Amino acid sequence: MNRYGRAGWPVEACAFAVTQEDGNTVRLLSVNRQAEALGLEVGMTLAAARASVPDLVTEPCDCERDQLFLRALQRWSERFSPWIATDGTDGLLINASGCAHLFGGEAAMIEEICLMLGDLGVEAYGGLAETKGAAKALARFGGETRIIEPGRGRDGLAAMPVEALGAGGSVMFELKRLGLHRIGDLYPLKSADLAKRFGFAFLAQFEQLLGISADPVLPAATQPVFSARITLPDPTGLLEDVSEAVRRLTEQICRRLHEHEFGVRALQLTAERADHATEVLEIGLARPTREAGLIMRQFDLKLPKLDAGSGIDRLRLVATVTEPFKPVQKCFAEAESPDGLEALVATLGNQLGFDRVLRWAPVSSHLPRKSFRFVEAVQWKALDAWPSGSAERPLLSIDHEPVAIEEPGRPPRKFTWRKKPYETVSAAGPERIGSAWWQGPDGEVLRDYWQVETGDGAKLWLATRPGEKPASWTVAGVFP
Amino acid sequence: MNKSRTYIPKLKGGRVHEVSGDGALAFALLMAFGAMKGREALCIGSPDWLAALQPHGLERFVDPQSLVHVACPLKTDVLWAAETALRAGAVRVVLLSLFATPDGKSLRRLQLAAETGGALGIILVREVAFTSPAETRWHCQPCRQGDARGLHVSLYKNKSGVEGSWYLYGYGATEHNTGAGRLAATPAGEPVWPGRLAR
Repeated sequence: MNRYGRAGWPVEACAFAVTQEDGNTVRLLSVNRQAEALGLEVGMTLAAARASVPDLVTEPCDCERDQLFLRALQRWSERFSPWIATDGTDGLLINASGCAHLFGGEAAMIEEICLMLGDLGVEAYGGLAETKGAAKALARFGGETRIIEPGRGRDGLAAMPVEALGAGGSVMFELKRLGLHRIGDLYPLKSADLAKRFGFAFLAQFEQLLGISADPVLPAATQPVFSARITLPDPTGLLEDVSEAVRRLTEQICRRLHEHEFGVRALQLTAERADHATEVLEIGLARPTREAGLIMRQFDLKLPKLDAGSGIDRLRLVATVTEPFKPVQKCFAEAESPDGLEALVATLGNQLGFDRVLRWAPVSSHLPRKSFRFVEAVQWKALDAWPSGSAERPLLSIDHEPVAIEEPGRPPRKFTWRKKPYETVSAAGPERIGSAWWQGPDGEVLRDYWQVETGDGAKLWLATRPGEKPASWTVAGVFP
Repeated sequence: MNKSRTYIPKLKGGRVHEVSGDGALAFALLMAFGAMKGREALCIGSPDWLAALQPHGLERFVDPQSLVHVACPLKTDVLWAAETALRAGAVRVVLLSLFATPDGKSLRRLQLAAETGGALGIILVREVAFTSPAETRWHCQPCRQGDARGLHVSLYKNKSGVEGSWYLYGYGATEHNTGAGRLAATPAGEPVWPGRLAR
């Protein structure tokens, strides 16, 4: 609600509500004061609200942006305490232990926070208590009371409605049905009875509210955000202008990456056009980097694809994937060529997809086809040496193409493969390569392999199944 | 034509060469190793072709860890990737596998890119075209003389230098894999053309 007010919507001028789809119905997620005065409340269906207030203005909610806004508020409120978490979709939890005296006491601190939020255009209610649950209850249902003194939690909460517990709909219905309207009504009941009737989850909530069991504030790690934006004085469609703007944004982000010792792996550029359409470009990099030149080289390839339409007037660049930056020395004594291969891998990967730029990594397996795998070149790590096997292996593997036997033998003395006749001169084998029985039916079939040298100089890897009659032969590979 | 040469001429850097025949891959790897000098090489080809390459069979030519593969299902992507890599010059050797010799315009583009970047380009083809603007064209077939198995290498086009053909025995062995020096071979007279028409 406050986000729309901040965005310049005249939300106070009329009855306004934010709606959310809930199954097949549309319900009100939040309402402003005017709407509240006209009898609308949160959770009503939109149809019912429209029936009682025909000129209600509504807007479907944008949960993602709400969440981003809350995260921004979380970062902003780090000025009050280092220990901050978000609560649901519309709350902030501040652990004020040891911080309140800096703002002139607890009451003054709450007042100041609410005042400063008010300056930002956010209407906020605060509560301060020993436990998280009690503070939440105070903020949402406390009315004029803002603070519960330490040790007075039980008394302070007794008059609060049971909604302050934050239990689910069915539990709430059951509580109301039994005539338990205030939290104080629950005090005389045995915890065993509560657990039996409302479940252990409810009991845990209730105990956390009263501080019987622990419920710490768990701050979501506030990672530094690497993003920058620029607004152009006039909408432009010129590639040079956009490129220059992106270069400035990149430099800004790289400076911040330097400060935080971070490197960037992927970036997203959002271009807002004058007709309010947005264009998004994404690039990836082979290695975490913080060099503007390297990033710009990737953008230069992609910027011409941006559809400027009626002109771009705002650009925003966000580092979507960042990692702690570890500079690596790659060679000794000779000058390093800093970004040759990495830049090439990034260029190829951005055009074709990073899953198409690959390198080999060894796998410990006795099956020749499974003794290596492809790893994305971006994630590849060099080994000291490639583990070389004892047996000679073909250069190219062939997926068991059958041969036509002209003169039988073991291996066949004469055969035809790919319309070409071959004559066996010498053969080495058999080498039995078995199935990986521990892998179940996925393991390979048991086969005997021969290295067959033919009259015209070719060397083939022929395979047959042991005990098969008549024996069929297949080509499994070609030696150099 | 110099028939008495006992070594195979090196592939000129900064140019694109074409190799065909059953022994093309082995020959290309042999030549690539000489030009790589401990750096990486790029292997560009269809996903099927790259999947068929076996690192354990390849390790007698080059270190399997020094190859970077680029899997491109489309021919245009293969050519684009090769051109980008040749122009960047970040790798010394670019190996690309195609079904047929690319058309003259594409291959000349590759030549220009290779000249800019100074990298060596080797195109492996199965079907050779009548003409090709490649710097050199080679045809390699396995051969046998008595007990010795080898490779018959024909250089049937060379823009700047001799043509000829050679028998290469014991290739892939350590003495060839030093990368230094020239590839010693036995002269074998006139080059063999892969097709009736190719020249």
